[in-house]
Amino acid sequence: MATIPDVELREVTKRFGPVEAVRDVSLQISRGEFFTLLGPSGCGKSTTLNMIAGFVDPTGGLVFLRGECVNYRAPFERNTAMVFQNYALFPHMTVWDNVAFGLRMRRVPAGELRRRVDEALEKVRLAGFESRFPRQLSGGQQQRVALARAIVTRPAVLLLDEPLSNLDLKLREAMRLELKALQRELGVTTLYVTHDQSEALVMSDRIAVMSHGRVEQLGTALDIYERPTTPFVAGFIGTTNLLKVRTVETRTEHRAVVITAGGLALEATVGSSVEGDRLMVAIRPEKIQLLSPAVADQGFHNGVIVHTIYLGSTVRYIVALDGGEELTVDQVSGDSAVTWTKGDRVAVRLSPPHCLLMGDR
Amino acid sequence: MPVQRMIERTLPRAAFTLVVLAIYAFMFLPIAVVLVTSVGASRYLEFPPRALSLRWYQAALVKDWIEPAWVSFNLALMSAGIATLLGSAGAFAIVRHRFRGRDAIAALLHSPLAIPSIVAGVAIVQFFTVVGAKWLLGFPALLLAHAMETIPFVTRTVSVSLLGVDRTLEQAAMNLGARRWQMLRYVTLPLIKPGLFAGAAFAFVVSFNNVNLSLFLVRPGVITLPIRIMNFLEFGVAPVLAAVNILSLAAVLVVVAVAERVGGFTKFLYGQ
Repeated sequence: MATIPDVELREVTKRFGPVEAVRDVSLQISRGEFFTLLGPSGCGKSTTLNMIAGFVDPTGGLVFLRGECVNYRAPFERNTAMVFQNYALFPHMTVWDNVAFGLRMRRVPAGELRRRVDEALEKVRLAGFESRFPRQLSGGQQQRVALARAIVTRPAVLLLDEPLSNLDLKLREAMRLELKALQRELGVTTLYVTHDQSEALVMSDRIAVMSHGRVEQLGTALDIYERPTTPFVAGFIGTTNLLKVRTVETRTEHRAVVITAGGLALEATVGSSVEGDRLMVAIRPEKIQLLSPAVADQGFHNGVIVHTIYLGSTVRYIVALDGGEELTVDQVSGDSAVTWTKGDRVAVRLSPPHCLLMGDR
Repeated sequence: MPVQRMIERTLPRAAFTLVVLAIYAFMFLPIAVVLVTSVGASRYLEFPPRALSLRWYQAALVKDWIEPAWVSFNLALMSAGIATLLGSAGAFAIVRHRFRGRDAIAALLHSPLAIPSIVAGVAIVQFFTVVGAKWLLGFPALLLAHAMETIPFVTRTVSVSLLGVDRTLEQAAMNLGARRWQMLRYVTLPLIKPGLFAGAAFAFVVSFNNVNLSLFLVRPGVITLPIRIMNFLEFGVAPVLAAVNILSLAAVLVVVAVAERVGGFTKFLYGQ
């Protein structure tokens, strides 16, 4: 390997009594990368973060920071910098003292300290707020102080624990872009923890989707959205039609013809992980084509619209196929194309590249 | 303050104000009477005094009164110091750690509040006699007993403060490179300071006013002010007592004011 990753986990496991919070997690984060742990609450993502920061000791496995094993290093010896979900600003210190704290602990000389604190506050656009106390700031400003306090120490890795979850929607969306821009500018290796899939998709270079303590899939946003390898990933990111497979008629390396539990026969692309007792086919609602039965020919399935939901840029249809299977279909709204209403008969086209066959492991 | 709001809702405003005034009157009128009496010129307790004079203050500021006052002052200051150290150490152990016997230790730390101090006083004398340390009677014994008696006040206030400290603040400190002692020094202690000083102030006042324990532990030459007052009372009441009372009250108020100035403990008692 040419370069040493800033963060590396090797088969890291954490047990709390009988509960396995994190199971065999291995990953590498390279210099400057924006890496996200994405998953529902209780999936082990925060525990993983805390093991890197040193607040939680792994039961098994190794944690490396810049090539050095830190399993037995105390949190203050690790050179990580964390932005906490509640910001954890010291309430008895001014903004300036909060930001200077890490540098004071590192015994940075006064002149350099002043310069670096000023610089960090400027970076987060809080110059002029030095003598305020945290309680005198808005949520967004507090969060920027927490960010400045973390980056000023020039850590090996910046750890962000759901930092945007306490902000209101508008601010959250603005902060995503700001945070990402700042991260780019500083080139700081970043590990981001969130349960918000759109946050993860917007900001990350790579994403590890976690469930029940395990990494379900690791890849770019595109990989994870377009080519989910497990039903969990397909269901957690965006909306997905997950159809249970009853029988596999024919199967080659890349394609398979299957019959679903609802009696739908379709051709699907074989995913990379097809182990498990039950197989599933995942189809994104926007990849499904709706047509009038009149113009449809072979390869279409007939059904009826049972529900329409207007979502602004798209319209969501629930279609009951004649065989009994029900599908969610998204179509761009306001298009010249036909819009359907409840009770309309439609023809549904499922193209094999967009039907992913996967195992439930 | 929800209790206040509840009372305010049930009692009409005027009645509420009246009740509050009555409570204040109940608390402060006796002190006012003592204050007025202390500046009387008569040889007997007289209220209201017919002539004013500071002669009883002059009589109070003599060796006979200053010496016990000095003993009490030092005793209160030192036992408050010891109680603050031990009591807050106990609070840290109880609040921050889970260990065998934790509940027992918590109960032990609060037990001085439950045992009548006059019983404790007798027990302590007995103890020193049995272990052959009667020579400790006097100031050392007083100090030990007062520290023990006042520990629960500190444990209580510090526990409450500690429970209010967000653990992620301590994690943040360590994450930023603070060693354990630096985290304590720069983050935890400043945050629990109001509780620490509230406990210390309570301890000081409780020790300064203590009669029951001191009764058994003083020895000739080492006598506390409350015991000196009690001894004096055996011979009757005199206006000099009013002056002594007012002076000692002033001394306590000064100490409490200093503690408030440094530690801001009213923040602990009444919130921000």
